[in-house]
Amino acid sequence: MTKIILIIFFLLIPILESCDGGLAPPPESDKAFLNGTIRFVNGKDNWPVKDSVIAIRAAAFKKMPDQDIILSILNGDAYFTGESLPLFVDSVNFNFEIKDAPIELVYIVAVQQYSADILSQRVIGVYTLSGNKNQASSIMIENGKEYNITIDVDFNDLPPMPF
Amino acid sequence: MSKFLVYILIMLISTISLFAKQSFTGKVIDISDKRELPGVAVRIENTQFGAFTNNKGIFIIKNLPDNLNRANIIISLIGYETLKSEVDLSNDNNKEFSLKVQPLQTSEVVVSANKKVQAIQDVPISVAVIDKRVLIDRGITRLDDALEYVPGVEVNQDNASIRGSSGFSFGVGSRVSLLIDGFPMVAGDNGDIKFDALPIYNIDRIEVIKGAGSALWGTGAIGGIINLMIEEPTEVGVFKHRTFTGFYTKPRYEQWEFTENLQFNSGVNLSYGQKINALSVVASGSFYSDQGYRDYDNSLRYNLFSKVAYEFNSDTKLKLLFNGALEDRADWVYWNSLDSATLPPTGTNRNIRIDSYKYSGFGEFSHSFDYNNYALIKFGIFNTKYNNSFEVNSEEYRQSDATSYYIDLQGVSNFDIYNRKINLTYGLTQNYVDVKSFTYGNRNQHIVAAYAQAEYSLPNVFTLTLGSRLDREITKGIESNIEFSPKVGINIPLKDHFNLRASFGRGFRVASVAERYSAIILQGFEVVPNLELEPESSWSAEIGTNLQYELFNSIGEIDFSIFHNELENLIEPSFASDATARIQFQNVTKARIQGIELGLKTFLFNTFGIESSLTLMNPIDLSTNKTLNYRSEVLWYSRLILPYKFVEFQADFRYKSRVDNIDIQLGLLVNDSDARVDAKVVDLRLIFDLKEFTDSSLKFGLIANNIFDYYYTEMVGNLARTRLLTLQISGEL
Repeated sequence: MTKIILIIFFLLIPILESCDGGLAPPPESDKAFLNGTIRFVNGKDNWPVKDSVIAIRAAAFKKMPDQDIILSILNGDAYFTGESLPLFVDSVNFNFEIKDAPIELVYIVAVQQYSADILSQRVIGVYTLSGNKNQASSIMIENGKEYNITIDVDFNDLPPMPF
Repeated sequence: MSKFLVYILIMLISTISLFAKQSFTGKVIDISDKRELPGVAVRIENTQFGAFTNNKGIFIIKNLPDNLNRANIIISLIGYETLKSEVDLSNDNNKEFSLKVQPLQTSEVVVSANKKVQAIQDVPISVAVIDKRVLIDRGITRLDDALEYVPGVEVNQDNASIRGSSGFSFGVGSRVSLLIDGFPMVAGDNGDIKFDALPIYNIDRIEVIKGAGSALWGTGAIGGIINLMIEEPTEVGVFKHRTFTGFYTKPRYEQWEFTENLQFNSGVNLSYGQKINALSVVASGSFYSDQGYRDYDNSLRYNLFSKVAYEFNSDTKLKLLFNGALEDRADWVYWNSLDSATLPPTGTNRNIRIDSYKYSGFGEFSHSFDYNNYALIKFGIFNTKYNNSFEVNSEEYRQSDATSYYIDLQGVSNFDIYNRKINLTYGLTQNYVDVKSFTYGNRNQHIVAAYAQAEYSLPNVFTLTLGSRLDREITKGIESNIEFSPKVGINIPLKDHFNLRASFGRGFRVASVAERYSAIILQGFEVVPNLELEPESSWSAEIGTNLQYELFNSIGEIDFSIFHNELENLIEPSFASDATARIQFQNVTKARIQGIELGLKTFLFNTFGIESSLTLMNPIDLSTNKTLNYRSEVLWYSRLILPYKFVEFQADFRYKSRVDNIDIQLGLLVNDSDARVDAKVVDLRLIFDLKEFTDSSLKFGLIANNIFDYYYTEMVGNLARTRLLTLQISGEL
């Protein structure tokens, strides 16, 4: 009898330990998404020279960046597309899953990396409802909802940097 | 140098042993059914003398000096309890030795701790051993899978870590030394372990030495050493075979299903080994195909291996090893997100493959001058090549071709001082690395070293080990580094089968070519070279006990140790100091790892075996006072064996606590990098041993890895292997 109890004990510990299943994808009902389109004014013909465009990313900030775009991202203050979006195109779509909704995204931008140094970033397009590039618009993101926005980029008329 | 080698070779071959000689013979049988046991290793402790039993269980150890009256012999065979016995060479000749069946191995024999044959409880440091029976039963095909069950060891994807020595760096700069039969097998460019390129099917046992070990093994042995001991053929020719096929079950979550089809994992191993007079040969071929449990994560692997040994006479032997491995695999790096954990990031080019080739050839020429003095020359070459299938002008193209040349001249002498035995091991070694690489440029690295270790033994009182090694890196263009690595160890037999041990030693690792010369652009980050990198180093201290007991008809072993490791100048990828986003490998981290380890093995009531080990660690980064990146603080492994007639039920449980801290830069690149949980994995096996019903050894195995389909990340953004169900047939003819 002792043997059986010991065997069962040794088998039960791992079974009980493992039965919580571990990681799981987040439930659909809790997810919030920000979908966007970046439109390049005058299409792919208006892009700058190839050497000066290393990457294009979209970034959505929870608070205004006060010194550096990348440092804000490193501090976890922004959602961003890690890899570059397609280059030299007329328009491109992006998509973020917003994991800490409800939250207000105060500054949503398209960013160009212009050299191999990842700190070499400049804002090339701002999400704005007014059409005024100096007035960025914010969005309140709620759980279970999906939001669609558009950002226009004119390489000949770039918006101001936020700092 | 080459003239010196030729001189040594001529000297060894031409030496004539003038001392009178005797032989010692005996027979080894199974204690229960008195069956004669073939293939049993019988070795004289602390020497190179030994023999294997023939198919009648008889062994003959030749050429022992006439004036040798007594010696300790160690008799071992997998599946049996190891026997250590002092014999009188004249009176005990033709003696019969009986071995007891032991389904759970205790009292193993190791050679890696001090470069000689020793019983595990007699060494001054912690050692873990995995034998080939366990490897086959578990269906192991890669070394990293085998290491996941070793007490105190964790595998962070491409990095093996002994007691928290390593984090995660895509394998670059391994802080654990890997050896095959004592030959180094770390790649010359990345300084990494090629887990897929090893002759797993021909391994007799894996020895894992824990703690800094550079006093004997040189650069890389910061956390410890893993030595793969290749099996020795016997006079009875043995043809071994293994075939397996399995499939990954569908994931529980619809989001993670990436195909309608079952994904298979299959393979075949064939091997033949025999000793014919003076010549012994082992040769094998292996093929593995894994379709993967994730999309774009499939691989094909091929491996050829042979080991040839020739005895010119009983004093002079030559051993040669050849190993070749090819792998073609997808370039999976990390997931798209937790929501699509079985998919690579959106936009990944799925046509890109990584092809790698690994070839190695090693030789060992050994000669006994007399019973107390022998010397050996080890030499070898290890070549690794890889490239991905991007165009050469692509920014993401990677290619490297690295060759390591290795030579070691070693002598061993036994002598008495005031009637006390001294065993002295000493040698000279050099390692030259030649790298021709698109990624790192054309580089080389050159290290020369001298080492000596003395073991002073007062039988039944203590054995004291003192050793040191001096390494010098003389790489062109790099400031010369000199590293001094001392070591002290003591083993005290307090009672029969109850030993106390203590050790203190240093380890170091010279920066690899990849860490020094990497110049690549990856995902917008620029990695720049750092020619100023200094070697990283560690000091390890340990106190431990080992108790072997027999209680209520149950054999068991308890091992306990307390360890303390100080690590300095750890080489980590970091942002360069000029406030740009350039990444450079730098000497940045100073760390302390303290912990305890408790291991238990027992075969209770002669009915079932239990093996369990618990490692508790506190790995602290002293520069930030936080837990070191990629380290777990708790490791717990357990194993249950329940044999019943011809069926054996086996269960493994593996627990690894959540990794608290990771590189912030990696967190930037990988979606859901915070999706990390404790690992709690159960494997179950049913092994049917059909030996009783057939003329030869034949086993069927039903293997369920991760039976509860527990989901966890082995590394950031990497879902670990999901449930895999396998049927395996293995045997010997």
